[in-house]
Amino acid sequence: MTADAVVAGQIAESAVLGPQARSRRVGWWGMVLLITTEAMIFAALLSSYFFVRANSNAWPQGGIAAPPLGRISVFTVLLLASSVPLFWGEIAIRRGEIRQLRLALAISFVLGLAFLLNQVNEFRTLGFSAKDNAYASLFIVITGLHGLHLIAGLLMSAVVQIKAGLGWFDADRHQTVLLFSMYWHFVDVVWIFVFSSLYLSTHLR
Amino acid sequence: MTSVEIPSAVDERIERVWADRPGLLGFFTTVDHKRIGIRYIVTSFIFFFIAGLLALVMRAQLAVPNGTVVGADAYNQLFTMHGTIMIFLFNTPVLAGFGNYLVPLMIGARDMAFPRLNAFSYWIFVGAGLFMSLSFVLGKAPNGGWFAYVPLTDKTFSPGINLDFWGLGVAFVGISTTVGAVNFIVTIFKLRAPGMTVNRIPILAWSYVAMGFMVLFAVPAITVSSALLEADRLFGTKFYVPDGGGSALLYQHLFWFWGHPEVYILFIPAVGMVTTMITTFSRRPQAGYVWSVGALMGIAFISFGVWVHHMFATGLPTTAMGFFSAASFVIAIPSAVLYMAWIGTMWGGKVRFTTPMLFALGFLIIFLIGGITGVMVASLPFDLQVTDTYFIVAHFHYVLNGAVVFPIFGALYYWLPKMSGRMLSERLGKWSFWTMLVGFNVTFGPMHVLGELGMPRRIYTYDAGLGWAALNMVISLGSLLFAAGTLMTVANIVWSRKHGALAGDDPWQADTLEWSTTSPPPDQNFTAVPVVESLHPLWFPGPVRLAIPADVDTAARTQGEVGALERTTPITSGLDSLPEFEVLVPTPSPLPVLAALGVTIFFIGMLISAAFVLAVGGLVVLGGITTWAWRTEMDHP
Amino acid sequence: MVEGVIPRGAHCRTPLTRRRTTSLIVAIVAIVGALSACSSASPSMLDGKSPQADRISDLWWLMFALAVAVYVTVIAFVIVAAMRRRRSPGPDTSSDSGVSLRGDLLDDRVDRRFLLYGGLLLPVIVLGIIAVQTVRVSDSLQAATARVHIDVDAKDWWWRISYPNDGVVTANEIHVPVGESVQIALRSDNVVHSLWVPQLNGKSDVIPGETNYMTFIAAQTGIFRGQCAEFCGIEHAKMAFIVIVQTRADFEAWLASSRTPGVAAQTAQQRQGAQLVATTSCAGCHTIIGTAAIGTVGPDLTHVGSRQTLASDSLPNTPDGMVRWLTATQQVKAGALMPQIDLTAAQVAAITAYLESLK
Repeated sequence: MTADAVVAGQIAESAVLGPQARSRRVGWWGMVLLITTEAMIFAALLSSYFFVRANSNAWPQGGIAAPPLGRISVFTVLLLASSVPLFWGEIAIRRGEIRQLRLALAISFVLGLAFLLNQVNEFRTLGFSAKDNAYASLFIVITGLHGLHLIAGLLMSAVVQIKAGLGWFDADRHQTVLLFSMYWHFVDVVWIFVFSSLYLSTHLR
Repeated sequence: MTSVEIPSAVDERIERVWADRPGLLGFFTTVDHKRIGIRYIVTSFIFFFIAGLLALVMRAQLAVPNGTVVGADAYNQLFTMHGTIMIFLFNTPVLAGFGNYLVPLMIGARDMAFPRLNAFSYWIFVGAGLFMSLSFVLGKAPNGGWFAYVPLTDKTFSPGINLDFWGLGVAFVGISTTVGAVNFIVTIFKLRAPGMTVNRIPILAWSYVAMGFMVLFAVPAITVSSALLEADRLFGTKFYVPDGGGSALLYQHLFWFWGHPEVYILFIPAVGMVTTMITTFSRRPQAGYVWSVGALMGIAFISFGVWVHHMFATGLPTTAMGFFSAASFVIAIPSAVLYMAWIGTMWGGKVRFTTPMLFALGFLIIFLIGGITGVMVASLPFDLQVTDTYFIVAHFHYVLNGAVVFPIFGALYYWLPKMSGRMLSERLGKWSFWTMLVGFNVTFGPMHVLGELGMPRRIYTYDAGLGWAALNMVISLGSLLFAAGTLMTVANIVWSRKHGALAGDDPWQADTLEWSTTSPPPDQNFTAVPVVESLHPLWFPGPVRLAIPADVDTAARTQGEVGALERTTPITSGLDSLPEFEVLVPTPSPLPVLAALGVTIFFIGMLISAAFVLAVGGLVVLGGITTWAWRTEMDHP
Repeated sequence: MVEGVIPRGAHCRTPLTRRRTTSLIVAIVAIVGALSACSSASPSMLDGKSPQADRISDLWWLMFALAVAVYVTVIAFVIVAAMRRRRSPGPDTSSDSGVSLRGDLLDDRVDRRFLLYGGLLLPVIVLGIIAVQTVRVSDSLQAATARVHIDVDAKDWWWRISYPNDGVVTANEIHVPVGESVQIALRSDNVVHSLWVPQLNGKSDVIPGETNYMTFIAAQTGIFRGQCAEFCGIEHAKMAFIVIVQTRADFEAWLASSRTPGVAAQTAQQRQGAQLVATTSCAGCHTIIGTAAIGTVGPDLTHVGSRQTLASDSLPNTPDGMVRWLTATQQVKAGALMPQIDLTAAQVAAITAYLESLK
């Protein structure tokens, strides 16, 4: 069999099997790689946090109290919960159920927004500023950067919700939804690491 | 083998489908990887000659003891910008440029995976380059050394705006490198021609995969190190301030975590180029292909475990430093494997001494020295004597100038004929090579000795009577020779535009796919996407196959004229490269340049601490990116 | 015929002969350079005056010998490989492609031999030798427990030297007794510097917020030059210093005389100078024990007359040198934190006379 014929046969086969047999789109891979590099930013920041901590006598520095766990834990649960509707939404749109997708996106958005509002409130009631010492700088910049990523996620969510509202997605074409939800899960996973490092670990004695 | 004969009416229609808009609009909206690649190369070389000029002024100052060419502050700006421009605005982008041009052609695709992102990464590079160059115009160039150690570069000791150009500029240009890396990786994974299985990917493409992954993991470290520096400078945070509980060493760790992989990010694509040229001019299949790919991945991986060897004198615990010393030794092994593969290829072949081959041979001569001195400085006690001296200046110029710039010059002679359709002069090329080779060694060879004679780095002058004067004079004269050699290549390029012999499709009788199409290639690269059956498709088994004939279904047809007419490129599966579907190659768009403009405005806002400017920049970026992504489902079904 | 393509069969001896010549030139330059490293004028790391520097220097020569052997051997292979015309089955003229050998007739074994022996075995052996020596030299650099303790504070752009156990403070000169283990504690309250005396030891960075320690034994008496080796700002190039290695007796004598306040001014000119120093801006930055000068921003001047150099080895410590420093401060060392002070010639002469008398 010539190479041409073999390849032609394989192409024909994949066309017959339809879109489900297709592997991920290039955009999906692009987002995976972008998320990888963004994750490294947080890795660098968290490494810096632990490096400075290892070189410090007291932690937090400057008499600052360890961050309280109460409210933030509740809102952490809300943030992590915001990923769940997106799983459901993805499955729904793959079946073409755009209304369910819209609902899923809306629930996720509300939960994410609640977390963000709590973060804003936390920032206002911190009791220290980033200029005070290295601990303060690290705490504010790391949680702040996560917050910025969250804001970006909410903006993305808005765009996706508008497109869903306009009916631009169907069972075969919903790449933006996949890319957005991957990014959103990333924001949640990063928060798990940030929360564990900045909040939980300071209470382990 | 030449490309397929197609009736010219179809040709014309295909041309219209792929053409850029005319004139200035076309200039700003193109997403064609070839035009973008050439632009990267041209822009980078402008920076090369600027940085080279800075170096010549430095050498004029150091030619004699107590020189009076420039004063201390000017000299400090010179060496800071020489290093900064060479690394960020020449070496990194020029390799991105060659990659942009060559990778889609070499893998049989019609463009990169993300053409608009490609254009964006170029315009970011231009923006960042202009941003940093602005510092010269204002007479406030960064002056803290190319690695800008704290506390010297914090607000207390560097109160001016100089270092803000550096700190912001470095993060700015990093955006370009990062999205470029994403583009290379996805392109090579998903856009290869059918039949180009994993073991048939050209080594140049592999080198860009390795480079891409390294960029994704390393660049965030310098983004963070400079972002925190700028935060300390602009907002008064205390990350690096010892009195505020911060750590000056933290900066060094973050910086070098990027800094070491960066030099391999530069070296690895150069290796890909050298291998390609040696293979072609030895006229036999490459020796040790699998070994070489493994070696590239090995270097990429190990390079993340050696960064502390830049910090041997900082007083870290000896055991930890021992680990990094050992890892720095080990990384020489995959480099040796690559070197032996080159020797093996030549050994079993019949070498043709064209200009590109000479540059490849020059690389072998020079890189061996650079690699050997690298092993020497990996030895902790020896490094304690020579670190921060001219020995190190010698070492890194042997590897970053000799082992990266020589391959780049060779690549110019090798691939410019494909890009422009005209050969360069062999005579002038050989003159350029020999002048560069001798000039290079006369310049950087004696620096090894100077370092051992006690001359530290980054000093704007030195006293008579230290025994350094004679060697410094020799070095300064050598630098003129080297510069002259590089200018000969520029003259050659200018000459060849009108007088160079016509290249034809494949002047070198080479083996990779870019030589199967015309010189220069048509906008769509391949009207008929080739089907690949070996690692050296133009050599074995012979002529390039046609794409699937037009009577098979749509997915198959896109690899022929139909695909060219519809402006698509095929997507193949990851490992075994079977055709799966096709993607529309985006039409020319102003969004990339607009988004890049937004980013530039944003960084200027940071530079002058103007919140309004920041906001405007941010909004432009947001608007640009949203518009860009708005039609995803329409454009990419 | 396309100009750029050399017709098959043409030989090109010239490039190779010239390449051999270039390699030869490079080798000669290297050897001459290496030999010139024995020049006695330079503060050369190969001119070791301590067991530390000697061991590192020996390690260098071992690595250099290995380097030359590896380089010559490998380049010989490169040259032969480039010149070789393959002896196996002749050119395949049936295809019009550029390659002249059919793939299935290539001998993989030769390729693999290069990769295995040259790519793996050779480097492992060479690296192994170097690694073992590295560890041995590294371990041996730990000198015996020091009896002499010196504090060095790196400043912008000078060195503050103090002997905490002896109450002695000076600048830009480190006195050490010969043959005894000395430990230097390195601190900086400004930017990163690096202390380096090539003839005595490897360098050690001086990092704000940390204290680094350097221990060595000076094996010979003499004066050895050191210089800051980490870019530290505008006058990094002029932050040198000297190490004066003395016999134990001389060292003790120096400590004793340094502990005492400076000799009081004797001539009228010196008294005038003393008065100027005590009442003008000098006193705000400099200390002269026993006078009103108690500033700590600049170097301690109590015994400045007995030092060998001025301004971190930028000027010789002679009357002319002192005059130049006082009248053209910013020309000698632009950016130095000592401002240009407005003085008449007579005032300069008086101050010079006084300071030079502070032995």
